[in-house]
Amino acid sequence: MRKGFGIGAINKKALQQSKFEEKASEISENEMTQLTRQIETFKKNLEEFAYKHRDEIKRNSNFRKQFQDMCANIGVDPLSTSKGFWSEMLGVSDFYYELAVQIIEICNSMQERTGGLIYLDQVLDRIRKVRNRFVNEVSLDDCRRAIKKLNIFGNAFTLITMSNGRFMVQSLPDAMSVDHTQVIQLAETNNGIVTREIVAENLKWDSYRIENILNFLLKEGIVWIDIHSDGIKTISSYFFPSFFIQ
Amino acid sequence: MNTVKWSNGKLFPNEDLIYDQQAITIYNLEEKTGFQKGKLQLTSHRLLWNDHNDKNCILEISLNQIKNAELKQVQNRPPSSSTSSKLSRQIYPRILLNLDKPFELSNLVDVYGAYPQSFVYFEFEYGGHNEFYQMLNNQLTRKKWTMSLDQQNSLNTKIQNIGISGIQRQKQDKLDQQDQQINESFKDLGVLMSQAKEMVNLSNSLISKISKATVASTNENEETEDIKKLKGYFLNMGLIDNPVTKESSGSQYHKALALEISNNFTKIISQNGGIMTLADIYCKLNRARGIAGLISAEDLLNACKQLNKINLDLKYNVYKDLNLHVLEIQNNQMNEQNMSKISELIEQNEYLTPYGLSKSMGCSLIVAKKLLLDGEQYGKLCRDETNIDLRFYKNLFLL
Repeated sequence: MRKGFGIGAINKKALQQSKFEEKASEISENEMTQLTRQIETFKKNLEEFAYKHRDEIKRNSNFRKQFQDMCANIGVDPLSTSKGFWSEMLGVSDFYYELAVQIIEICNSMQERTGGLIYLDQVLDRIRKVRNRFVNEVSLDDCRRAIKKLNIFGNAFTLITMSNGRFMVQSLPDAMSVDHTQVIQLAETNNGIVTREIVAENLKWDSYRIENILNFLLKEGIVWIDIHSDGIKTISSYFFPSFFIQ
Repeated sequence: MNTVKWSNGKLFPNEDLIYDQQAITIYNLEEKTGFQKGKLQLTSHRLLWNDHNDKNCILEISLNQIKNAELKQVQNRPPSSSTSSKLSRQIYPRILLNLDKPFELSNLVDVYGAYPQSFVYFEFEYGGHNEFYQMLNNQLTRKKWTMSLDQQNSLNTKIQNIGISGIQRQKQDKLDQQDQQINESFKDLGVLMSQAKEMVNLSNSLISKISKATVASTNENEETEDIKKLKGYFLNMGLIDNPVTKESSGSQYHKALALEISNNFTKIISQNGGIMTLADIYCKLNRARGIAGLISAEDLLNACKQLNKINLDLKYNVYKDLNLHVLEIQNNQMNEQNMSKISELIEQNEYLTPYGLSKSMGCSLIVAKKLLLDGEQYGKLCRDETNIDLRFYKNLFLL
């Protein structure tokens, strides 16, 4: 075939191009109708599913976890809006929203005593006390998911992983750096008390860094100080009230 | 005898609770009755309506007095242009019951129900009407109430086992049944999710095509019908990292929510120092909404972003230094009001801590701190930072 030169060839090329585009839009149109159809059938199935298992998803925390994991796997977030069909049909998101509300309220009420730092399982205990035990069972996993959703309001609620796999919630939004977290973790292994010496020994920090971090925690009300003497010199012990509340 | 009557809410010995649904309002013709947003329970014998505030307010309708039931799917009216919130205008699906005899709600409540009707509407504000309708029809055809108590007892005793082994067997049976149920539900979930996966894959490929198309098209404001539809789908599915909806100018829903927030919170926030964190608003808003229709954190965030587009007193703001998202009232009057209150408090106490301020202003700790730091920035306050706490004094240097 002769290679294209001149106006005729250009026109021909343009024609080809437009043909291609036409075809492409036709294909995507097909996909569009296909998607519409798929969504329709999916909605129907979801409705059926909701009709059968709606109560279960509210009652059984294992089931909820499975559901959430699967949603994450396929890249869908059923909690992102209350207007989607996940929440309208399954009512699963309302469960988490309510949980988040309760978590915020409990953390706020404890702030005065703990400086905003509290064990997640203690939050959970309090939630269970407030809730009717027979209606819904709440798990730690549920709480963690609810809290993660709150993180879009800034660092308002941070989860700290402790060495033994427990979690703590930090509900005051002042930035908690890695250093602060390390001191908290250290205190947990040491009955909730640290001294400068213990920090220096375990974390190998210089005295200025220790002073800085401990003073910050003291000012925020996260630790309480007890200055006592062993007869030779004075010792300052820093207590974390969060580890002592019941 | 009246068809609709008061009830004590206790079940008969052979009566089973089948299904319940929250947020049901009873309608008499087109009139809303005083019975609003209660819980409707379906049992094998009756329909029970429970008021959600007053535990003693329970209505019952015997199923044998229901001739038939109809499901009325009401389409949403086109959103009106009036200023009132869209949420209150929405019409929800209803179930219509045709009753044997006319009833008078006026016997029950003196204001409503001017003349006797032989039908009654239940409005399902929170969905669930399809299931309820299906369940109701099942019960209507089963007619369990025609079975006498003896018949049922004789049925039960046949299967019943006697003695301890009987009890054990019964327990085992129940456990087996539960296990089976759970297995079944996991299986159903698996099927459902594989379908969803297909759907998401297709949407993702469409997203990439559309984003290419929007880049290519010169007129950005032009949105085809398809894209609009698609955006609706994506929002519905809750797709993570969805470029199309992220760029969109915000759905109607979020705008309505923004208005709702501004209507309800402007006064509260102005009384509490003019600033409120989003977490607190989230709490208060969802508490106010009650059981029906809680909103998600992301919806709230989107709605707050919409607030800045509408010209209102309330503004959404992010304090970068504190990494804190708030709604605040931004005007000079508010600032002056806060400052005068702070200086008044300092006059009384010599100094002020964030904690003290939060107690007397009724705002959260972090907001109090922010207000005091602002005061320092204006040169009105001086800080004294010690190990014990952060205190603010009057700035005497500039006076």
